[in-house]
Amino acid sequence: MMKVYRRLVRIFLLSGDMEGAEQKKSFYIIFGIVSLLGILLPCCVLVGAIAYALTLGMAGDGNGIIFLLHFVSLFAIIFGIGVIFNVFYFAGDIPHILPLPISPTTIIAARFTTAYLTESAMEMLLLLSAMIGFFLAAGGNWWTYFAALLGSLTLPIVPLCYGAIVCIVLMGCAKWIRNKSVVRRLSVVFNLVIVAIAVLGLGMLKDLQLERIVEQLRLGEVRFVQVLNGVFPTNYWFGRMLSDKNPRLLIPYIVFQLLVLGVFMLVAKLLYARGLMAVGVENGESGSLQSKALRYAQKSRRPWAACMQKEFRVLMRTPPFFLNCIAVNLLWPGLGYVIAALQSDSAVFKRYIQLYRDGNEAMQWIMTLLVLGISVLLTASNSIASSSITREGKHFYVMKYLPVSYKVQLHVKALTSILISGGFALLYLVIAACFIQIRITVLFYYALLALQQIVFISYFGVLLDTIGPKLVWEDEINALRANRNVFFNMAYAMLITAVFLFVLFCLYRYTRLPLAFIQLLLFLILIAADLWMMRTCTERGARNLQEL
Amino acid sequence: MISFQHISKTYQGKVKAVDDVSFEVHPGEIVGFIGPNGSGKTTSLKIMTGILQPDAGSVSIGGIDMLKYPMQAKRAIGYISDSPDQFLRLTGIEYLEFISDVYGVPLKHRKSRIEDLAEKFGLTDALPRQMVGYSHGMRQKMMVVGALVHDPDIWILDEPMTGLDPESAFLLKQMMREHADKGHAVLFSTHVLEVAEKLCDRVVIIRYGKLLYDGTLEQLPERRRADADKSLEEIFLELMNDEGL
Repeated sequence: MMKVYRRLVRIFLLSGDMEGAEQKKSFYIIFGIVSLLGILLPCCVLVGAIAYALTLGMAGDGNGIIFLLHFVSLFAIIFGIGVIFNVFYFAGDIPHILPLPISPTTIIAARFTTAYLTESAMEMLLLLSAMIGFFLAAGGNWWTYFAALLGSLTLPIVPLCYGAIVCIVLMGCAKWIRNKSVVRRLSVVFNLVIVAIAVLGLGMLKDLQLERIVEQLRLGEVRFVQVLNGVFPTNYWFGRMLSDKNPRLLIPYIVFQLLVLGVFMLVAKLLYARGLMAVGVENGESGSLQSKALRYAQKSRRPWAACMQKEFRVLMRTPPFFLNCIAVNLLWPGLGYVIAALQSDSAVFKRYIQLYRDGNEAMQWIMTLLVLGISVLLTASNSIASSSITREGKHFYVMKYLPVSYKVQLHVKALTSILISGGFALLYLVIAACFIQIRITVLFYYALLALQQIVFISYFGVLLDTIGPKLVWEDEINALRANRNVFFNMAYAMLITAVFLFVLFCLYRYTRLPLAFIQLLLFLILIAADLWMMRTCTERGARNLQEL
Repeated sequence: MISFQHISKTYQGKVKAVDDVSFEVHPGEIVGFIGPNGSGKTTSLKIMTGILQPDAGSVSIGGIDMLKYPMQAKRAIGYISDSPDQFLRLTGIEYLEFISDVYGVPLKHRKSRIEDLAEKFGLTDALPRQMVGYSHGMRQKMMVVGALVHDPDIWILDEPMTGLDPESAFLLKQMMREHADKGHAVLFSTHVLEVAEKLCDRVVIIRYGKLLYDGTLEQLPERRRADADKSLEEIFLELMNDEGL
């Protein structure tokens, strides 16, 4: 049984790999390093810094790190549940695995291990960073360092088990859910509801003061943490073990982990096969009826317009694409609302806005940086461009036999990203303009700047995806999650923008050049960069497509 | 109408998928492209349709060089690939409109062409529905309709009968014959040797990326110097086992 289990884990891990990765090893190593510097490192530093500040603010008490561990665990469940549904019940290889003489318990154990190894890597790094932050503030000894390492690897098990148990119980008992499209729609709704609750919840915190929250955390009076201590006792015991330097707390920590794993395996043994068989019968989508009467187009479209329409239809109608490429853009106004709600009464915030309205140069400059930064994040995070070729999947070759040139098709891919990202960026700019009372001419300038950034990142993302698209995926969600280009695009976009803005900021700070001149310079540089990237993307990208 | 000359293709510098293969498909012909799995059939068809670039050789479609003028050459082809799972989030009618737009089918011809083909293949009721809900056979039929909607002169079909019900398979074979009789060309790959035997004017047999035979079925038994009553299946198996060829 163990041998079959190990083989299955290996096969599942290998089937999630990007094809062609071996041939482009050096490319992926370079991009991996850049991504590490561009995204992972900043994220880890941020989490470590929060852990450090919280622990320092609580004079070395463990409640700060426990709070952080709970937060990471909650996020792991929220983002992991969709993956678990997918991996356990809707993976493309299930029809091939099911007829084999392998027990469902072995299959689910292998599936769980695969999900743990592939989905928890980032979580483990964040946990380790939080613990480093804690040790820097509170200190530690050799065995607490060892325990921290162990904890980083094992803390993700309990949230993953919880998600898995919920998933198996739902699939085993609720008939209405045993359908891929129902699960996908539920997952979209679930994610949107969670984001909405988080935004509203954070928005309501405006009357609270940071110092008060830290003090309440230290005293263990925060209801949210009290509830989560019960839900994730491993986080509590682990945090206390680090702060109290009490190795005996490792015992309940390990026992509980084993207990939850045991419950998960028991539930799986009882219900997994039932859910799996039911999915085998009820899986498949009926394909929604778009209109009862057959309607023909009233006018013919140019090939590029037809391709563009196809792109939009696929993005809007495929739930994982809709959630990760379209709905994700709604996060930004949510964040904006949180910041505004938290800070609207703050004297400092009001002063900054007033300074901006009075034409203060530094504030004008900060606003420009914000516009540029948010445009980059918005475009890179929705991954429309960086998954544009990957989304075609196995029928990518259709792009190659249609009588539409590669250049036109690449322009269409980039334009789709530009229109969606640009539309949302414009919407947010208008909202911000109303809030801060930006003049219409300045708003126009910001809109142009944002558009220029979006054009650059969109073409860059498309180019990146032509180099090594992930064309073999079993489920649409895999096209985005297992596609390294999405991650690389984000990392590169952030890094390039950070360097670019730093240079311009230095120019402003250390030269006597007027701000208007630097803004004009910025405008011209971005136009040149866009033209260069458009040309590079279409020429190099067309060659890449030809070679694929 | 199709000229495939001295084509070679190697994958990642190691696997020689097609090795100096040459053949032609003339107007009015149905040519069967036959070979065991992994023999290089699909690679050859992909090179012919502009999906892959050959390492050496030339391809011309209706007299147009595919490598120099791919857009013009592609317009002359109706291609059915070996996988029908394309654009599944589009409805049938949206898919056909998309293909019509891309190939520039005029609006006045489009509707009647779609209606006619959909009616023939029994897809009319399915057209307003997303293709994700279609069965494998329905998707395959939709690919056939999509490949023919722009009325191309040259049909290149990769395993077109796979998944089709007997009625649709019969209809497609009939359409292939009618198309060839109009002076156009049909090249199709198949594993079903009976189909090739009954339908083709000529067969091209390929193995390990090398051309084994190019000629009419009548000539094939003579070349094998065997009993003329042998079926194509028997001759094919002999060819596959014959290392000397």
